[in-house]
Amino acid sequence: MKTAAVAGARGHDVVLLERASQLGGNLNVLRLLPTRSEWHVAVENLERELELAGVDVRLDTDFDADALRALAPAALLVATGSLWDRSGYTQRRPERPGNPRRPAA
Amino acid sequence: MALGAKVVIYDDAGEYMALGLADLLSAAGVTVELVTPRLYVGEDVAPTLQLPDIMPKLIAGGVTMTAQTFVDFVDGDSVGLVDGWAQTSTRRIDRVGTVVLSLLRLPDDALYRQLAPHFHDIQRVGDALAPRSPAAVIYEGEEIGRAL
Repeated sequence: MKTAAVAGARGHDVVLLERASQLGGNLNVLRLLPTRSEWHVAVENLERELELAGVDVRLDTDFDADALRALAPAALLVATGSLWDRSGYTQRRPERPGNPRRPAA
Repeated sequence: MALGAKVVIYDDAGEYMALGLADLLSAAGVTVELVTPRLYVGEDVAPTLQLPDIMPKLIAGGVTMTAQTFVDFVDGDSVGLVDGWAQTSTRRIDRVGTVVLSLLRLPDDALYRQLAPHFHDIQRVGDALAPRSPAAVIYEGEEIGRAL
């Protein structure tokens, strides 16, 4: 969102494709916690920046390589976020038995 | 509650998320155990002065907080803890409904890998490049926006 807003404000033609029905990604999870609802201000600020910068925001948009090629972008940025690791690994205890990524030595 | 009557949150992220989840669950009547290998619970929340707000709520909610401790194993509905320094077994938590891992986040860059062969000027940004705090990601966003 930030990159789109800055690039748009600098005169680039920017299309922001969002797979979900709302912008914000990870911040939308944080704002569900008790007393943390004000995190929505961060998302709203960015949404307003996008609006002022004239960014073409498309929600609920799924796409593949062909659809993206049709847009003929000069630059393509992929911001698909992150997933929580479920292996139980922590770098504070790399020698943990059973850790699939433990060092061989 | 779908998560069960007792939930263990194992947190090495040190951020607000684990504390907020413990607050949410304990307020809903769930017995919550918060375990961290760090020196204390909410280590990275302390510098932002949020502990005086959240800690009384966790204590009132009966959340058991155990620091300097690793989860050694999850076996059925039991969770084994070991001391963070001595690596010796300290305690076993039984009848656990759910274990929540708040440890590492991994980049979700499957789409990038799928698209990369088809585009000349393509890059990963934000958490998809390296998971970080929202502030760090927004800083990077500004930087890339200027560089384009």
